[in-house]
Amino acid sequence: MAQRPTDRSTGRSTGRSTGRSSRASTSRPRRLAGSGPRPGQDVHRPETEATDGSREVEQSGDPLVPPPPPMPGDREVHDQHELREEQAAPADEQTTVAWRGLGRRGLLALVAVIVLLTAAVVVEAVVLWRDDDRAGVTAERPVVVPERTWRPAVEAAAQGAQIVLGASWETYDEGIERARGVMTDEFAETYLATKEDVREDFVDQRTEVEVRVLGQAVTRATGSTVQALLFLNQYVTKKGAQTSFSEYRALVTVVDTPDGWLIDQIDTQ
Amino acid sequence: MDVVAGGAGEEPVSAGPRLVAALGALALVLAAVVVVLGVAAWQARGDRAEETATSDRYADVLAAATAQTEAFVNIRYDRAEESIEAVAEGATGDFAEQYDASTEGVLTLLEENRSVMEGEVVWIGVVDADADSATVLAATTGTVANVTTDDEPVARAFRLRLEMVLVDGRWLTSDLQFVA
Repeated sequence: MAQRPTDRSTGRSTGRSTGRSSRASTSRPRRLAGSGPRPGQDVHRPETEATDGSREVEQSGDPLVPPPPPMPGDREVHDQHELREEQAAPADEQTTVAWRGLGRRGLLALVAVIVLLTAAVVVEAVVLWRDDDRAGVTAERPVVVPERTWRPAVEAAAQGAQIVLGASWETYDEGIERARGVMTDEFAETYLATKEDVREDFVDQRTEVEVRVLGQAVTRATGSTVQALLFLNQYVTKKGAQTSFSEYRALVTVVDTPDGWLIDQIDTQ
Repeated sequence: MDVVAGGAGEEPVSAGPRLVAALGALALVLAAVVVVLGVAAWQARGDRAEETATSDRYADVLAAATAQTEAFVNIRYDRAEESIEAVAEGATGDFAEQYDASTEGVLTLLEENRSVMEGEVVWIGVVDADADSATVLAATTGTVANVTTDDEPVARAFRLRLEMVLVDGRWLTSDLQFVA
């Protein structure tokens, strides 16, 4: 056993008497063979007292003999020594030390935290779910999405209406194909049937129809469907006739699709 | 299962380091989910508030513009002053001044021509709107009857553009134009 420094007056150990006694016992340098007290040496006097009262550590000079244990007050020496031992401790031991302090109360506290966090997740999920369940449009509240949502839809309605409602006898089929690209399949069925019905007369009379948009506004809007009010001027030119002009209004319904906002219906007056 | 010694005065707890580690990891994951969902919920709440404000504003603008438009397309010579007053009620600024200045002439014309104009809004929509001003398009349908039609109603549709401003909590018309 290594020797603890002692109070010379009582012979009692003056080692640290804190709750860290178990650690202190493990931090003592191990005694090596041949490192014990030598004959004639007072085991209770491992160090010499300087004449001025200061402490001097006695060095053995033997490389196999570890330095004497630190004395109380040699805090730096103790801390460095403990740090070395903690670093050298096996991982399992460190883990055990880490969770050993948890105890029943700690475990219960951890479970309580988990329960609270779970409740918070549920509440937040409900809030988000309710937010997705937006109120639908009504006659009194026809627009329920911000401008950044309906503006592109109204623009698509205006541009698409010019393509769908305009036509040229010279590029009749190309015009139909182009118009197909701005409308839904459902609306295309009606559109194609109408275009087929008038094709012969339209081409025979060398008809040109141009549609210009004078104004556009949103009348009804959700995240998936927007209705746009368009003020349109239509100019029709036929073989041997002057260009006729008419002004009308259109309500164009566009729907959000993976291909963008497409025309799903056009009502005119 | 290891037996864990609790703190001073505590009974031993049967829990292994793996259980404690698993619970700790679960708590961390849940905490991360709470943060992510919390941010998403906060953003969604902001978006929803913006949408509600926009929706309310558009509703108010469209209601006022509809009332103003229908007042404008429903004017009868036999209730001339009442008809004109209805339009003036929703007018402000230059439009109110112009309409007021022309009232005498309008009353005379209505009487002389026995004019009866009836109509309603078919479609109405917002071109632009901010906190205190808006532009609206209105499409109306209706009839006009006067001496030139032998007092027979003739279909008449209008395309109108209204400029609206918020005055003391009311949306009023500062300008009204036919779109041709």
